[in-house]
Amino acid sequence: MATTLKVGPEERVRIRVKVNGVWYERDVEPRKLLVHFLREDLGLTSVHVGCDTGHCGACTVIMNGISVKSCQVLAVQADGAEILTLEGLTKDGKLHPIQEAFWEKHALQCGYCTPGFVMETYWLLSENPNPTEEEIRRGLSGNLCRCTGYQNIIEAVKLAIQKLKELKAV
Amino acid sequence: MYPPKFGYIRVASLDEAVKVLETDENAKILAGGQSLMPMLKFRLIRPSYLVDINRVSNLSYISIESDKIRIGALARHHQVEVNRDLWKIYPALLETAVQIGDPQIRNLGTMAGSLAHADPAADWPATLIALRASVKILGPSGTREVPVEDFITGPFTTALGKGEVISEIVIPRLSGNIKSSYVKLERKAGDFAVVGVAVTLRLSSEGYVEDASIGITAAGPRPFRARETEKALIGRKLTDDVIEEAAERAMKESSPISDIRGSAEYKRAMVKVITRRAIKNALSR
Repeated sequence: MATTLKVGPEERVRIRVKVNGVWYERDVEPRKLLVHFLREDLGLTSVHVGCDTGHCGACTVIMNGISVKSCQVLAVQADGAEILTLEGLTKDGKLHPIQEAFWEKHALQCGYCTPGFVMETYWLLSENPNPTEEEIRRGLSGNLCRCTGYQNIIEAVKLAIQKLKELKAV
Repeated sequence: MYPPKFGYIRVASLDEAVKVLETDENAKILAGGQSLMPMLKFRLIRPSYLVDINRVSNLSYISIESDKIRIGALARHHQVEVNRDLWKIYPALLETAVQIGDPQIRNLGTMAGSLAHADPAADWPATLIALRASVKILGPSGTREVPVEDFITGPFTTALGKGEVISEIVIPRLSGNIKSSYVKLERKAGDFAVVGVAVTLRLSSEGYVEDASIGITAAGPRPFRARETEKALIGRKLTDDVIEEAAERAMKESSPISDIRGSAEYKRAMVKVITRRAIKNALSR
């Protein structure tokens, strides 16, 4: 991946991105958003387009270890980056403890916002494995849910914290 | 929504970015991109090229020195938010960072980018004005430093000239018993300020205000330093009456406009309330 690069408005640029552990190479327009790259070019449809203006968090993915709204990042910016989407959380057909917790606590109704919430929870708990309820609420303030009223989402994050602790103890 | 078509240049140094901007007035810097992307999608801007500075090395620093703090053009809001050393010096910095946008936005958005964007309701300008910070600018003819107060010249307008980019923000370390605070009134989590007030005070051992600076955002065409308000504090002990008088002056110094976040009248009233809270919050430290 070259540090200096110039691509014209009518040109396409070859990018290499490691998504969920696999390297992909694709040609993209400079204006292509990361969310469209993940959904349309790679078929990772857990990454949802909600508001498309950076408010709702449904498109949240992990890029180089930090959570980002993939509708606010260009695909070409992810050149050389490592991306984790919801698809990458599931291992051998088994749900990730955060996903299990969302299921068990009924932390979703329509489910549209869920992948974004799960990914932001993933980042929140990687930064702070033991957040208070206030910290959970603040940590998820970039994600909107129009069904649940958030209560069960908070409960799910609390359960996920327990599950992850138990896993670590084993 | 798709952004309009633009070209993309990834640079390895700020000097390279300056060269591009010097020859192409329609090129725009891409740092955190958290204000830029919505502007592109809404087609409010149509740049020829985006000049991506994210791969420039050694630009994400927060360097705490004996007489100043230097913050690199690529330091993200989140880095400020979690910096315990900064908390010990200026709590207002962390207080500001944590109230910007939301966690995902703070992971990418930068202080320098917020200043260059110059939204009249942005948080950083209030606090940086109250801390008497300045912006270090790199341009075709070298570097220059401009106080944040003068850097933002109007709504979405700055002192940046042709070919110029922000290289860092410099915050002086004031000596003595310094108290700082930023209080933001917002309608909901993640929103821009209805009004925001930042306060820096230097107190004598007897509790008199030796020096004060106050920055106010979202209460005028640009964030401003409330000098009349400061005068009401300097040389005095901060009794409730003194604070009330200062808050009253802050209200008179402000000139907000009516918009979706409230009427001009409401915002002026809120400048008074938030100024009072910001002073009390600083004192409580």
